[in-house]
Amino acid sequence: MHCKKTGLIFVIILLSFITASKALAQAWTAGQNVTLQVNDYCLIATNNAPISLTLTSAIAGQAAVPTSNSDLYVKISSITPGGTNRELTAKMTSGTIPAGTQLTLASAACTTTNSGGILGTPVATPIVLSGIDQYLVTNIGTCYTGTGYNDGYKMTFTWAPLSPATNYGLIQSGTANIIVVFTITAHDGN
Amino acid sequence: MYLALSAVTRHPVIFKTDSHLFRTAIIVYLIFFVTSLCSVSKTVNAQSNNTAEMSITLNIPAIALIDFAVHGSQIVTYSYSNSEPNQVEQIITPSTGDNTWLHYSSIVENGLTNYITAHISSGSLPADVSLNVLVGADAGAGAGSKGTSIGQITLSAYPQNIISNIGSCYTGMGFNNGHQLTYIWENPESFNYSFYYENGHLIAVTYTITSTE
Repeated sequence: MHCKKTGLIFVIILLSFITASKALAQAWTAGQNVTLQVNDYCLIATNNAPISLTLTSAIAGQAAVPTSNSDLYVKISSITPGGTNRELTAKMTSGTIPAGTQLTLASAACTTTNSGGILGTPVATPIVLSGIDQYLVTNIGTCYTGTGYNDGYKMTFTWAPLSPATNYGLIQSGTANIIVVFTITAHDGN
Repeated sequence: MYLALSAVTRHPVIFKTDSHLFRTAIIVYLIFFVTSLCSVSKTVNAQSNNTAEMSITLNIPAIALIDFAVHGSQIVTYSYSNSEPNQVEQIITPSTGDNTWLHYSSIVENGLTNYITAHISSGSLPADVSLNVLVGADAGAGAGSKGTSIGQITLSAYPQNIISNIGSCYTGMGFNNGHQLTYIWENPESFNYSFYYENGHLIAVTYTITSTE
């Protein structure tokens, strides 16, 4: 009898633990959701514009002419805690830039039609794409760029012979496919 | 989480001792606690790594383009066809001399090169007259793997190599860039240019750039 009674007490204690922990978990999960939405929220997408560049010359005696493509727009939504920023970066994750050439990338300031907030500052000098992340836009705060095909940060890829005086002979005809990854970083208060 | 909970609610049925029951309850509680911590930290990681991927195609077509620059005001013309940019024709007179500069742009596939040939494509010379062309070395403008000139040849109706082993390169444009062409006549006094000119039988030389493919 005594044993049964003690058992019952422990079951009650156990249930109270469960109830307490369940209540705690719920409160915590709800709190975390609020934290994510307010303090650490960011999304990134592109307009998926196909990008194909051709390096060639049409005039005898002339070098292959640098070629550009500005069809790609990167869109983001960002919410940051006060006083913190995010950066937009880019790197190559697959493929190789053909020998004797270099591919650079620069971001324009965000379009203004459908955007709002602290949209950051594009880095003035185009980055030479490599396997390491480099800044395209810095000081991005809480903002949104718009969702249209031509909303967001217009990206300009420029492909050109690299130091042709010494490297032009390295260029070979052919096709290369590369993959560029854009990242919106965690806010720097993390 | 809920698996852990349902497991816990069934446990009292199989517990035999009070201390065992208490210990198990604490352990289950701890497991539950740690599991909820882990799921939270995963969510934070997913949020801090936002990326978008783009595929980019880079294409370099093989090219072989050839053209002239001709110095001075002479009775010299050349034709250039957009449909056949790999071929140019020049009308040669005794006064053409060394006033012609040959230019090219070339991009080759790995393992291949381009070469340039010359031949008399129009008109014929008297038997005792011959027309030579001296092909100078590249003047040094432009960049890349420029071709090697063969020196001097006697032109005929059959194409002969004048510049070979052209890799990916460009010679630059205009006078004093590229390879200088010097026409040398042998026994030119037998070639009555005025007669040929008036009768529309001019001598023309065609230069063609071709891949070794």
